Amino acid sequence: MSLFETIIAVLMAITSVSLVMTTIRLLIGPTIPDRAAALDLVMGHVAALVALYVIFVRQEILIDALIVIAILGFLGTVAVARYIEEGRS
Amino acid sequence: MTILEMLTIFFATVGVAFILLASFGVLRLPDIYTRVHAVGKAGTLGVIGVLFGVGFYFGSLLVLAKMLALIGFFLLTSPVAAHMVGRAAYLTKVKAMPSNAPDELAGRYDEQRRLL
Repeated sequence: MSLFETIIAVLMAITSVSLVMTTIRLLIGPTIPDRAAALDLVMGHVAALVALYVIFVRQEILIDALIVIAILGFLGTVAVARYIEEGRS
Repeated sequence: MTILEMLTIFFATVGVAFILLASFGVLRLPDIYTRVHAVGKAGTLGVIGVLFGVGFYFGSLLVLAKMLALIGFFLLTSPVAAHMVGRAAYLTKVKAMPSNAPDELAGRYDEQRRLL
């Protein structure tokens, strides 16, 4: 691996560790809005990981997947937030 | 290492640092309203940084245009999502941390119509 690929791989490793930290909050979060906020950040991590993977394998066809992930993340968070609001006593 | 690769590494490193900061904030901050700040600002900046890295790496105008469109989408939607989560938390009466004493929004929400 060249130096560039090594640096990108290290960045992917740091993002994975950060994803684990966010997943801990997703699992232990005391309230449901905590989990919703953590889920939003998890989708951000997934988008960043896919973006770094696009750089790593040099396949620019894969960046269309980024658009799908961005839309899915936003729609999922909005759906969960609306669900919390409507479901109150 | 070419100049495009150096630009890519710079932006991707800044983005990953912001993402790490956001995840640390989500893990360590005391209540939901402060955690939403970490998600809505640091998380957005981190993703935008990494996307800028992808846009510069290929050196093609089409990829950069796609990434700019995606960055605009993230800038528009991510703070809205964070705001909706915070609003849902306030409407379901999630407690703030104790040092957040004067709740100036208390009693000003119309509970039926959910408007100010």
